[in-house]
Formats: sequence, C-alpha cells, structure tokens
Amino acid sequence: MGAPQRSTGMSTSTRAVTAVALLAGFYLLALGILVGLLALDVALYQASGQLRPGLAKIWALSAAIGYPVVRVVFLTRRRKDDGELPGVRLTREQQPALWAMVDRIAERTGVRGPAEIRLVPEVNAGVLEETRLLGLVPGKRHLVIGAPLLIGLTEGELESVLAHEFGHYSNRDVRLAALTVAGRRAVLHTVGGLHHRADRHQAGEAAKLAAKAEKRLAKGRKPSDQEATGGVDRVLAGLFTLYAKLYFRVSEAVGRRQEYAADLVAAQLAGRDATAAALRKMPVLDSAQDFYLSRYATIGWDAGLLPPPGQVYGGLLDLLSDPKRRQELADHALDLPEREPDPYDSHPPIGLRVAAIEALPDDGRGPGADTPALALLHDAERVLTELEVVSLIPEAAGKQRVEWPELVRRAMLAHAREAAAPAGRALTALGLPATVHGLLDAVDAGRAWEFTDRMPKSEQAAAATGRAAREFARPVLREELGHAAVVALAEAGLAGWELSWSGPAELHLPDGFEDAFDAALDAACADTADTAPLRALLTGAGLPSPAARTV
Amino acid sequence: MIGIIVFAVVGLVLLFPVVMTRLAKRKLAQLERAKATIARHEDRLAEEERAKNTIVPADHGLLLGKDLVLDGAPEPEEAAALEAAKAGDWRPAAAYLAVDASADVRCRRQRALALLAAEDDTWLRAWRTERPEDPTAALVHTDALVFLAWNIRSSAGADQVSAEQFRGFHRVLLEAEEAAAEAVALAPEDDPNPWVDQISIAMGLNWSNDRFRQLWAEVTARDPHHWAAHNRALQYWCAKWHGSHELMHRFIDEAIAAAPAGSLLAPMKLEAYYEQFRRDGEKLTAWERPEVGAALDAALADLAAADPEHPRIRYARGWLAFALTRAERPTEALEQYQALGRYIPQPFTNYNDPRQFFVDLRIAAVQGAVAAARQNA
Repeated sequence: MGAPQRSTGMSTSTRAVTAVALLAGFYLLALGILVGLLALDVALYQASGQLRPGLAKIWALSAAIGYPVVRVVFLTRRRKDDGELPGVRLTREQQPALWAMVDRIAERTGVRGPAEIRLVPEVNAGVLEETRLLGLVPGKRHLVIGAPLLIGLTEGELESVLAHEFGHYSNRDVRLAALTVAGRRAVLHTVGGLHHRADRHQAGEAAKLAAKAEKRLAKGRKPSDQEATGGVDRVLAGLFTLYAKLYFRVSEAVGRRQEYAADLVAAQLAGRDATAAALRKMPVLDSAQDFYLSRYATIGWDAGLLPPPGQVYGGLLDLLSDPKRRQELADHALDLPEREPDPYDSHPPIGLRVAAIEALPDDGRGPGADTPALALLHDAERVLTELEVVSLIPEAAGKQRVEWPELVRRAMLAHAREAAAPAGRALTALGLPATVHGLLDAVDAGRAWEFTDRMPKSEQAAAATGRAAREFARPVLREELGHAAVVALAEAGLAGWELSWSGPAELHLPDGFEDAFDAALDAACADTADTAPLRALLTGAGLPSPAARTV
Repeated sequence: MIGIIVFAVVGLVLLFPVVMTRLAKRKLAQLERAKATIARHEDRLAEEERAKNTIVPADHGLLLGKDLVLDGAPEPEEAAALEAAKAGDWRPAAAYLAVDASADVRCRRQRALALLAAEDDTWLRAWRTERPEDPTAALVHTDALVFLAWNIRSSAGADQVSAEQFRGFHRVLLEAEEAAAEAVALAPEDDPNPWVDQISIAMGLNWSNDRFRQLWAEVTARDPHHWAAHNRALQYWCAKWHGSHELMHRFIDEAIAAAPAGSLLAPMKLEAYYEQFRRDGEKLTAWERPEVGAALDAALADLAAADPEHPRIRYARGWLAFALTRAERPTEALEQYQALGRYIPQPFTNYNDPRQFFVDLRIAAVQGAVAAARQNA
C-alpha cells in the first residue's frame, strides 16, 4: 500500500495518545470556563469588599454562561450506552452456518468472538463492544451485519468485510482507538447539545420578537429590526466547535490508519481479490439499497401498500439479480465514487483503500467462495420478516401486504390519480366532470385555456401574454389530457403498469393505442383543436363514452 | 441583607428596560438626523452634477430629448396595416408587404407584422386559410414563430431561462423550421428571405457551424449583401451563440470586403466589437484602440458612399455616434447625432432607458466637441 504509508511523521499510537490528551483537554476547556467564571466573581467580590447591586448582575451573568456548560458537557446521559441494540438477534442455534464463519474468522484473527450477532437493515457491518471507562475495560461484543450485505455479497466478500471489522480488534492500538472513537462521540454530543439549546433559545426569542413587532404595529409604530439569536448557547457552541475541529483533525488520522490496517487483515484472511471486490461493492450496495427502498419497497406506501412479508428488505435480491441492473451496477462499481474526502470521516476514501489492496501481490486465491452470502442465513424469509417487524416504523403495520405485480399496478394507479388531481379540481371548478371526457368537452367548448389558467403555473408562464401564454399552456393541456386518458383506461382495467426489475414500471396501453396516442393528443391541443381522434381512440380501446353510459 | 439584595435585583430588573429604551430612542434619533444630512448632501451633489452636464441642444443643431422618437416606430402605411391586422383584417398587411423592393426592405417591412403575429395571429391564420399558397403569408408565419419562440425563452442569458421556457422555445422553433421549409417551397426560387428567416432558427436550435454554412450559401447565392441576413448571422457567429470572437470578426470582415461601397455592412463591424468587449468585460477605453479606429474610418467611408435613402442608414449613424463618442472622437460623433435628427436608433434602443442613454452620450459628444473647437481656436 503506497499512499497511506507515506506520512509517517507521527506513529499511530503517538497520534492516538495526542487524541486522548486533546479529549481530556476538551473537558478541561469546559472546566476552565467554569473555574474562570467563579474566580472572576470571587475576585470582584473581594475587590469591592461589599455586596453591591452591580455585583449581583455579574453573578447572574456568569450563572447564565456556566449553566449550559454544566448542563450539556457534564450532566447529560447518552442513550446509546444502555438499552437494546437494534435489529434481529441471530442465535447460534438458528444460524449455525453464519456463526461457523464468524467463529472461523475470530479464530484466525485471534480475536475474541462476539457474544451475539444482530441483523440490521442498513448497508453496514461492525463490531460493538460494551466497554467501560472510555474503552479501557473490555466488555461484551456484538457483531452487527446489514441484511443488504448478505443479499448483495458473495460468501468470500462477506468474509472479507467481517474480517475487516475483527481486524480492528487485532490491532494493538485498539484500546486507545476505542477511546478516540468514544471521544469523537462525546465531543459531537456536546457541540450538538449546545446547538440544540441555542436553536430552542432562538426559536423562543424569534417568537417573542414577532409578538413584540405585532404589538408595535398594532400601536402604529415601526417594528424594530432586531433579530433572534441563539444566545449564550450559540457562543459556547462556537467555542467548543473550534476545539472539536482541532480534535477531529488529530483523531481522523488515527482512524484512517486503522482502516488501512484492518483492510490488510481482511486481505490476508479472505484474499486480496475478494477484499477489493467487497470494498468496491459497498458504495454500490449502498446506492442500490437506497434506490430499491425508495423506488420499489415503498412505492405503494402512500397508497397504503407494502410488498409481502420478508420482501421489504428481501426484494433487493430481485433487483440485484436482474441482468440489466446487474450490468449497470457492475459498470458503476468500476467508476468508484469520487467524492471530496470529508475531513471528519474516520474512513479514508474508498478509492484509496481499493488501490491499496489491489497494490498487494496476487495471493492466487481469486475472488473466493462465490456462493451468495444469503445462503448462510437459515430460513432467510422468516428472519427478514422479523427484521421488518423490529425496524419499520409503526405505521407499516397498518399497510396492506400485496404481491409485487399487484403492488406496482395499484401504487402506480394511485400515483397517476394523484398527478391528475389538480386537473380534476380545475374541471370541477369549471362545472365539468373530472374525467378525460370532461376535459375533452372543455376543449371542444373552446375552454381549454380557461382550464389551463386554473392549473398551477410557473412565474414565467403567468407573466406571458398572447400566443406565448398559449405555448406555455399547451404542454400542460397535453400532459393533463394524457394523464386523464391513462387514469380512465387503468380504472376500467384496460391499461395498467407492470413491474420491471430492470427499469421503472412499464405502462401497458391497449393494443394499437400507443401508436396513435401522440398524434391524437397533438390534434386535441392544436389551435384548431380536434378531439375526435382521441375520443375515437378511447372508444376503440373499449372505454364507454359518458353519453353511451347514460343511454 | 437578603431583603436588600432582593430589593436591588427587583429595582434593577424594573429600571433596566426603561433606561435601555431611552438610550435606544436617543441613538435612533441621532441616526435619523445623520441620514437626513447625508441625503441632503447627495441631492446637492447630484444637482451640481446635472448642472455641469446640461447643454442647450438647439445650440448644437440637436432636438430636445423629449422630442426624440425611437427608431423603428411604424411609418403611416405600416401603422395602418398593423391596426387593420389587430382588428382581424389581413389585406392591408398583405398589400404593405407586396412591395416590389429589395429582399432586405421586404424583410424589414415584415418585422413589425411578424412581431404582432407572435402575440396574436388571428389575422394571419385568416390570411393563410384564405390563401394557403401565399408565399408572403408563409414567410410572416415563419418569422412570427421565431419571435414567439424568443418571447417564450426571453432574451435573458441561458442561465436565467427555465427548463420549461427552453422546452417551449425548442418546440416552437421546430415548428418554425417546418414553416420555413413550407415558405421555401412556396416562394420564388430566387427569393432569399425564406432562407434568411432560418438564420435565427439555426441559432436557437444550435445548428453546427457546417450546417449553418450550407444555409448561408443558400442565402448569399440569392443575395450576396443582404443586410438583415448579415446582421442576424453576426449574432450566430458571436461567442455567446455558436461562434467565437475570431469567427465573428472573420465573418464580418469577409462580408465587408466583398460588399460594394455604400452597402452599410461596414458599421456592423462596430457591433462585432460591442459583442466582443461586452463578452470580455472590457473597460470603455477599449473603444479607443487603433483597430476600432480603423473600423470607424471604414464605416464612415461606407456611410459617405451610401444612398442617403438607404433603409439601414439610421443603424449606421447610430452605431457610429455611439462608437465615435466612446472612441473620444466627439466632433465626428456630434455630426452623426445631428444627422440622426429626431431618431434614437440602435444600439441605444438595446438599453433599458434608450432616451436617457442617448442624451447622456450626446452630452458627452457635445462637450467634447466644444472643448476641441476651443483648443483649435
């Protein structure tokens, strides 16, 4: 590994010690502020020799500064230390294959294995330890595995990812490392807590100022242009942020060095190629999971629908198994995301990590076991269903579970109806039925632009006059006619959306409809509008016109 | 003891807002007084500045600012045609356009009517329904679509144009392209105007330089010195559209070299410099460069050779007046302001307040000319 070893100005442990010292300094800073305030008060009292009213004011002020420091830095409890870990517990009895792999890795890295394994929905893996005294006293270890890793990685790659996590514990610096991690959390917590208080203060003050301005206006005076600030909390937050920046600068280097070391452990254990492949796959899986959850798993959320039990997370496998998507992801994997490195991220950029691994000599082990890691999970469907129960928000329980094809069809119809809703309201306001035939009637009655006037408009469209205004309105009319026609056909069961794992849901229109649809829409939206082609097309597709229905 | 402290604290709390309000009020009053003083001072300075900049136009053969009109206001016959068209009658417009004149003159006459049709084309549709084979109607229709496309887009920089505007712009320009093909088919073979109409379409639809050169060959084969065609093509070749400073200057230089004296293509070189300087954010002193001086001399010679009735003469004088003033040649500039009479032409009409800008520049020219005369005397 070339790049990472160059900056050997300070050894990792020296850096870790510096980080620990800086962490102690963080608390000293807080203590210093308090002691300084107290000293000032005492000195003033002694200097004045008696109790003066002015002195009380200064005391009140120092109390106002000291209180948030004490409250936030020293007194708040952090939730993460207690309570249940997230996810589903995978017991040794239920999941012998997975445990066998974990035990093997623990043995070969010489690291004490975890007391429990937990499956979580995120694209993440990690070993948590319930340490005490800021990481100096060891405790129970928990291995956390993200379900998408099981779904998306091969066994060899999963082994590499887990070996990386264990690798952190085979490193000698780990005690201090745990301390730096705990330190980062404490510092972030303090700064966040102060900002939170400042926000609340600011909101309160803004409300007060608004009330004051209203009173002044009511009395016929000009409101003052005073602005709400975050008060003393904001100032303190700024001070601690400065310190936190210094602390992070030092500790990040420690963190990054440890990542490289852990990668090396993974490569030794699972093989160079499997490790490189796993590193490349992680960001891809991350985006695949985001994409899958927003475009597939929750597509019917607003319509009150979810995929069948186990599929909310398990469906990612269908997406990843699709040849076209797999190709897209493979292409994506090669061009690694080139993000600006975040100075406060303890992980080095993934590109540098891959380069470091690939620079290792070939160990001849190839990509390792290429069976899907999901095979390690016994009774995967049940486990993934349990994961849904513990991880989805409570509203999920109220959703109807339907098979994928029906889910997509119903969800897309709900979306289409929603998209057509503003047009429906506009038609109702014009006294016309909120249907495609209502809109066609509006066009025939020469009220098309009256209709578009009632639709939401951009600033430029609203400002346009004459023909230009009409040209802004024409695409709106065309789109709404299209929406209304599709909704009408879908509601009559003549058209529908079909699930596709390789692309967005496909709209299937009646036979021969699509070829003539564009021209029919154009004719209906022309200056000399002709709705006959679209009407004929709808009737031909089997959609009864309202006149026919009343007979 | 505690009683005293409580008393002191309560007293302070009660007193504090009263004192602070007093202080704030006093400060505010001070601020208001200071602001008023500054405003009075600035007013006086502006007054003095105006006094310094006042000339008596009549002393210099010029009309009062308020008596000037913007160039391009319709002539009586044109105004009548526009009025009739607005009322739905296309015949006066058709008669006005059916003039036996140069292609450039016909192009110029068409402009205001096409602009009207871009706003409301009821009359034009009536015309085209009644005479579907009328080549002039087809031309106006094409030009109107081009203007309509630009109305949708607005003339703002590309970064200020919304995606919705661009979509509309593009869609209507594609319609204009079809309309132009129809106009070409209907027009006599030797009429350049259906091709000239396509220059702006090419600009908006991002035609490649090669494709544009083919179009240009069609134009120049029919009329090699078509003024409006050159003026539109100059825009195509400038850096903000599909050319560069180099391509733009090469285009206009070749056109000027090929044109006979009096074509009034030479003043267009000044417009090219304007585009260049504006693009590069040059200082006003750029106009004093020797190459601009040479362009000014060439433009003056072209003007001297031109027919005084040339339809583009006010454009030439306008650009000369503008550039001569900027180039610190006030005496020659003043001659152009005088010759313009009551018209404010381009480039002044491209500014937000053409009249004020015209008058300001005119004052600079007069004062410069007076100073120069005094020096020579």
